[in-house]
Amino acid sequence: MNSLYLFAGTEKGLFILKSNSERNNWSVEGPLLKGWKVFDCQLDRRNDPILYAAVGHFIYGPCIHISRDFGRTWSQIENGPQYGENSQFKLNSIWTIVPGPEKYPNRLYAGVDEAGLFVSEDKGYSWQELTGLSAHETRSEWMPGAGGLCCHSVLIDSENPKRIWIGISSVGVFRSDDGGSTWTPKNAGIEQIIPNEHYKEIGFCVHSMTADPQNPNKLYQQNHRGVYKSSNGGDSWVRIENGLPGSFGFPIGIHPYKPETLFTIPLESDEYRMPPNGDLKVYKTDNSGDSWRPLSEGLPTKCFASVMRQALAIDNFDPCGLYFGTTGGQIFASNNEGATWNQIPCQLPRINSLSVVSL
Amino acid sequence: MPAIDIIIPSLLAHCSSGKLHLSVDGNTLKQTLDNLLQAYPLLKVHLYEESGKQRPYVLIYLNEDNIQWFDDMDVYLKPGDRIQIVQSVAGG
Repeated sequence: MNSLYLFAGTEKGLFILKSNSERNNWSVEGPLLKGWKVFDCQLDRRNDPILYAAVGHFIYGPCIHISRDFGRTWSQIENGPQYGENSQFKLNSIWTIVPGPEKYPNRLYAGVDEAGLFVSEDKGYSWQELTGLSAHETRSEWMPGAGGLCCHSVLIDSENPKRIWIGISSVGVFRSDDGGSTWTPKNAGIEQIIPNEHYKEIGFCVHSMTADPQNPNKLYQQNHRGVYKSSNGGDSWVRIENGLPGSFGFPIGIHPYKPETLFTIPLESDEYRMPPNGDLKVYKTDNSGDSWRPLSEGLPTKCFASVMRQALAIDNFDPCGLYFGTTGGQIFASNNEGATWNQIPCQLPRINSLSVVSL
Repeated sequence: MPAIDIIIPSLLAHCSSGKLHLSVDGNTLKQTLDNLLQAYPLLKVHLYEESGKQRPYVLIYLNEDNIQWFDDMDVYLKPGDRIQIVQSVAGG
């Protein structure tokens, strides 16, 4: 029988939640990395399993920790992502760690604030900046949003490892077709949030992105200004909001083996950023976003916490399970593709991210 | 060369094999801090920004003095001196 592990990155440490394959009986371990804000935690199983945690602290700055024993012990990486001594940019936080393509099992990417992208070719022990992004002609005009100037989303083409998409809040989506050397903004069709005097191709506030695992040309994003789909690798985007109560939200997730099925968690506008009327609902589409319907059985109707962009996770069981964490420290779980929900019995610090693996 | 006591905050204990009290040799403040980072290189990213500037909310005291008050780091040390790294209390 498989076990399921949820890695909850919170404001004050990492928590590991373990369940059986029925996903109805959970144990909670933590806080690990106590006192550190955990932005992201990912298990990379391409080699021997390695757990990566991107952490940070208001006073002591960001770094990456690695665990080779499933979180029992951790070691900080000495040569983590850092801008050069003479760089005009500063590393404020590490938002995401993304294992690279299967073909390059030692490669990982890290998206950071101030917005940039780093790559490791040695399983995360040393990192180099992909300077082509920072050298983009629009870089001097990039403006931070409420969450900072963060590169929070990194997608790798499953068929072409040289094609990479990134998402930067308040700036937009960029695509590289040459492994990260050069980048092109890919925001056509998206409503702009901060019009720029000099560059009309930036000023778009992507909140999170996901890709169709079976067709890398199909991309989806929850944006500050709506939910969008691209069928051409980001060259153009169209709105897919039929049935949603609003356009604002943070996470978007895709079913692991039914890629026409996606999930999002709308919030009431950028002014309020909470479930509409406190009615916490997950929205599901079974037709690639042509229409959405709410899933709410078991979810609270008086919940005024938000759900952050990395706080939605989906397992690969049949039926797939869904998990999301709130800024109020709750984790809600569904073992039937969102039809019914239960709160996992724990109250954690503010949840920044969730990831899930079965072993 | 005197051995200088250095106290580090518990959040950074993973950088010093779990030890909060260290003993590092050095004739001057600069030499002692250099030796500290050579012995415990993981501390560097937490105390200093990429530019080499001390992080704004990290305070390093030599005995009762904030080392930012010194004109330079070539302050001679003597046995019994103590360096303490603390986090500045900011906000509420």
